[in-house]
Amino acid sequence: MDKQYIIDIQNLHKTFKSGKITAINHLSLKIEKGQTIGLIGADGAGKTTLLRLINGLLLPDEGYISINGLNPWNDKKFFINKISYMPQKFALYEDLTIKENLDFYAKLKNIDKNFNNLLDFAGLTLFQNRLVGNLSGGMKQKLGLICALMGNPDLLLLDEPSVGVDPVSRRELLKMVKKTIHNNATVIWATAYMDEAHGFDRVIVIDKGKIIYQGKPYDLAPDTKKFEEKIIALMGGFSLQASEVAKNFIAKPHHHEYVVEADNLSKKYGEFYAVKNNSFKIKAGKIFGLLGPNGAGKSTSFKMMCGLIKPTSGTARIMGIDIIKNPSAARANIGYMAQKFSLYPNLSVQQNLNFFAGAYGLSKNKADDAIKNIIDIFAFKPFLNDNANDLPLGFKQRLSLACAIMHNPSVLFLDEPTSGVDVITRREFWHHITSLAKKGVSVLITTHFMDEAEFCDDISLFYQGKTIAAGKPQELKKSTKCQTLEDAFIKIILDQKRRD
Amino acid sequence: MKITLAFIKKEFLQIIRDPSSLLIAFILPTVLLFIYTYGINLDFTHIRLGINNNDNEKQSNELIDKFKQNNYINMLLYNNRQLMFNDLTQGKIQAALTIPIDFSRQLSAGKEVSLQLIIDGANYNQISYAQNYIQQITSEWLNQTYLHDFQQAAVEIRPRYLFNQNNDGRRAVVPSSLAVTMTLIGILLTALVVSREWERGTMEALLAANIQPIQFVIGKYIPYFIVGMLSLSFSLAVIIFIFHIPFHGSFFVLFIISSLFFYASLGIGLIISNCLHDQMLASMAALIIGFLPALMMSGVVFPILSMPTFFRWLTQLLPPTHYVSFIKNEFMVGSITQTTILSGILLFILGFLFSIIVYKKTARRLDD
Amino acid sequence: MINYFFHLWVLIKKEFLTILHDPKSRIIILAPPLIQLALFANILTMETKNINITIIDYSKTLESREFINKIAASSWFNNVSLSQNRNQALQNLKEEKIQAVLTIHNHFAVQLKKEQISQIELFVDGRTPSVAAGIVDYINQIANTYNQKFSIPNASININVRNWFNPNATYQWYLVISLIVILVLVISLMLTSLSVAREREIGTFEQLIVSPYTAFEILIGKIIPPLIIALVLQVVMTWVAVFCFDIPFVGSIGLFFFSSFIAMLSLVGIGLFISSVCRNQQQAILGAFAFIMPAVLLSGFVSPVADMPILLQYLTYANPLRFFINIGNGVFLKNMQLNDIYIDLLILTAIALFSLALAARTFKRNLE
Repeated sequence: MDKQYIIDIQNLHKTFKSGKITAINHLSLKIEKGQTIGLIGADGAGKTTLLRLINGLLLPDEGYISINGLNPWNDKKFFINKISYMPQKFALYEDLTIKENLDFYAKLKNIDKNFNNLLDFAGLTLFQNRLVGNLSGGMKQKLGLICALMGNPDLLLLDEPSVGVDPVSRRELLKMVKKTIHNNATVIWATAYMDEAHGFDRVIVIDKGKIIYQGKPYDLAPDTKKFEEKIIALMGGFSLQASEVAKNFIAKPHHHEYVVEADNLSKKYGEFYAVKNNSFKIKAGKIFGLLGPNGAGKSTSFKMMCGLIKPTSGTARIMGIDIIKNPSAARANIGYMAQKFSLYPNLSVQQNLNFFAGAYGLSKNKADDAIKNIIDIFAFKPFLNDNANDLPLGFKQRLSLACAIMHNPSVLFLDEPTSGVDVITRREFWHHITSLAKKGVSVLITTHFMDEAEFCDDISLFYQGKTIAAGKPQELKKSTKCQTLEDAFIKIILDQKRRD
Repeated sequence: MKITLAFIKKEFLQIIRDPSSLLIAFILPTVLLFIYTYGINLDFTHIRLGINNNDNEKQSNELIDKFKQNNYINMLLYNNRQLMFNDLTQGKIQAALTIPIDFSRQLSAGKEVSLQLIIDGANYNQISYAQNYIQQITSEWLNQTYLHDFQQAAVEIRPRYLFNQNNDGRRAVVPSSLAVTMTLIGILLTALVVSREWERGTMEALLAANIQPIQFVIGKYIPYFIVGMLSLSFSLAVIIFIFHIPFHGSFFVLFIISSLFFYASLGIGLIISNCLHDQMLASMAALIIGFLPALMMSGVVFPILSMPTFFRWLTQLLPPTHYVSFIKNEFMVGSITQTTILSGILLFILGFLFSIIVYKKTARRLDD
Repeated sequence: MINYFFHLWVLIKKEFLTILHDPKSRIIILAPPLIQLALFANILTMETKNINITIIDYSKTLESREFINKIAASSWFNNVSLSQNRNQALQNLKEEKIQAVLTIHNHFAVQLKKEQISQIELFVDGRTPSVAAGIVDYINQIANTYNQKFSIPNASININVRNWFNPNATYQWYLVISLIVILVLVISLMLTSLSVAREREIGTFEQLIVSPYTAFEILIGKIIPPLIIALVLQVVMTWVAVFCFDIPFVGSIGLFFFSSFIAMLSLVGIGLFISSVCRNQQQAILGAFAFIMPAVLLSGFVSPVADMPILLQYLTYANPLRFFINIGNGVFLKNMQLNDIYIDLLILTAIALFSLALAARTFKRNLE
């Protein structure tokens, strides 16, 4: 045997709901030691199920998995310290502090409490005694990763660790993994970022529970852009057709030049400004991107714009209506998609759609039509009677978007709409968004995908509650002399950090 | 062992972070004890009695004076009988007594007279008291007025209330109410602790870290056991030192049996929590399985003795039933070896049975 | 207009669905109240039944045997045993195998023949005061009838007792109506108090706020489903009371449900207030219990409000359950009219308005 396999999977099969849904379809796979492997697939392709099966969290219907010759569901205790798993939504106790969480997981895994260097590395040392519930999304992901990295595992299973993380932190996450694991460690990293996947030793693309490609990413395409195209082609391709969503959209006539206006918005918590003097205006039919690292105050701004948080000073107007003074009238024009999945988890897809159509004031007939349309566009048919909670992450996001646009709003507020969504769906989403904008919808959007930010008409870069750069994407790239927006973003942030 | 300890520590930290559970463990029992001590009274009741005196002679007025002097009767006089009945219907009075027109004359003639007493039967709490009070007062008055120099053969019952000389209800209700309160606290604290791990996604991480069901179960039992026992000790201190209810038993025995009782009560909460991953349903179940049977069927308010045989057996499945009978003995009699051991064994069997179910129901994998 | 109702209707429907989304939740919410009504109504009673008594007859005469036969013939006693061993009998009493020990002395017959008063010693178990009082009462009644054979015609008073609204003084009537009210309280309070806290925990609350619904509409959406579920349960339980327990419904059905509706509104208001101040479901359920337990105890169901210390009596004015039980019994059994209960109704309305306003206020402030 010249090659050493850490994972050997043969004929693995897993179904849910007593055989109705096939998640993993007779899959076989061998993974060599010491490699970093990107796991790519469409939403619901079976990535999470595969990782859970490898980790022994689920029992397969058929087939066999061997990890270093051991079986994950019977011999788990022999290698528990050697295999680490980070679930998609990393399960931290929000009512405990960072340190308490780490202590707890360290003891669970029977590892020495030697994570100070990891904390340093993640830049969390100063926040050790802060409750996890008060951390930003990026910090939580870093903390989750520390929990997974503890004890120097041989096999690291990461389920989309970079979802919802800003470009700076994303690079840090990657660096953390690369620097801390030992040479012989194997990493399986599920991701929706193609630039990430392109940098790995190998990629595995799965679709409908089967492997449709495995090999070196470089063999597929030499650069990220082309790699992404190839992957999309592998997953069934994406063809640019007229957006169905936009086609059925009937813009409400109005005479406002600026549909969304933020005027000197500030939010102060105690002595701390979460947002300071934020002003921007969005013209009808324009897409305005709010970018910035995790914890910069994007979500706070967002929530002030929707009237979820009352600003300390300043005003927010939607179609000229002050959101604080007349919330109901202002909100009737808004479609809102929250960052955290926030549809009713125990209601079915159909029930959620019914509710949101009516909630935004559609009449019975119009609601029925709109729902029918949305079901076709987003291919919800097979899931109609499933609880929203049981949907794969990507479908949850689609459902959230669907609920936000059903009532033909003049303004769309989308808070990280593409987090956790596969490449193809992301394209689809943006295709819908830009088409809607062309029809006159104004969009306020946040994203951590810098390639997406290119689609925005205007960008405002947020850092520590303040706008540190604004303008069109082209201008930003020019002024920083960077090729991509991602590099520009990182440069501006790092410059700012240095100045502070 | 180390893992279990870490788990216990984590639970404790979570308890401390959310003061609501400590509030429920220490403030609520105090409030309830106060209510049971001063608000609940199963011994006597005040009766609002209406009297319509059609006689108005010496004898009837004497009788009315007797009613007036009685502490438990608040008397109202009516000239109009219909008015009295209206007030009875409206609940302003609870009993209506009519004295007939020739009451004094008939009595003086040594004859039997009839008084009509109408009681508001819609409010059962008063029925038997009203009848007893009025019967007692009238016959006392009759004996004093007509029979003082008269000797006749009679049987007289001399009741003696063992373990509770004055048959004081408070001495029984207050300690046994602890069983209801503590059942509730045990179930409330634990009913959501597993469903929360599921709803917040931390269960996946625990399973991935290969926490063993036994570690999980012990880790969930011990912290709430300690909180519960502290809460109980606190309540006992309040009962003994603030409300001055005499205690005749042994603190050691009390500690042992109370531990077994909590072992069983927490088991019920954890079964609920393990079976229902939805917090709302778990709350409803806690209420249905926890509070109402503990209040109604454990013998605190309603005597178990009066239930049909089958249901008397059914009450034996409720941990508070055993605890009520045990704690009453501890307070009023002192430890009775045989009964105490029996309560202890039954509580242990229940607790053990429940913990087996908890163990069996603890998830080993995500799709369990 | 139609659109507006549709707009509101989807909100209400959504609330219904979240409560009753699957068979499991439907069963857990709807079945237990009915089961508990049936169970409790059949087994709970304040009367003392199934008494076990041991009689020690040192007299062994015709007279003593006659007295014993009277006890044995009465329906109150389950088991009447004779014994010569007084210590053993008292030991049995201590171990709760029997509830009373009656001792007839050897000069019993002699004293009676000499026209003297003969005392009979009755030991009862004071650990359960209500049972003890019941036994003493029964034996006294038996002694009274026994004494009649010695009585010489003389002036006497015969009290002719009638129970209005409940002719046979059936405890079940009072119990069933009170249980209906308590179960309705529990359901409506639990459902509302969890509703907002639950949405806040899941994160859907933001989504709801961003929608064009006004705070008032959201409040309506939260109120109506629990109200309807509680009303439906009440209708079913009232039906059971009338047709299964044969309790005559003499009042106005309209008034009964109208006043129940007001009472539920006040409970829902309190539930909503609890919900709006709690951050998560754990706190909400603890808050709900912290209200339910004192509310049940201080409602007059277990012991009359009039016997509570004055301070607690004032406190019961904030307890909707107190008025709800009053009105329930009054309209159901006594045919109380609107002018009999309007004060209670006004207080309930005040509680409802106050709690709903308070809930709306905290609700709005939650949106900052």
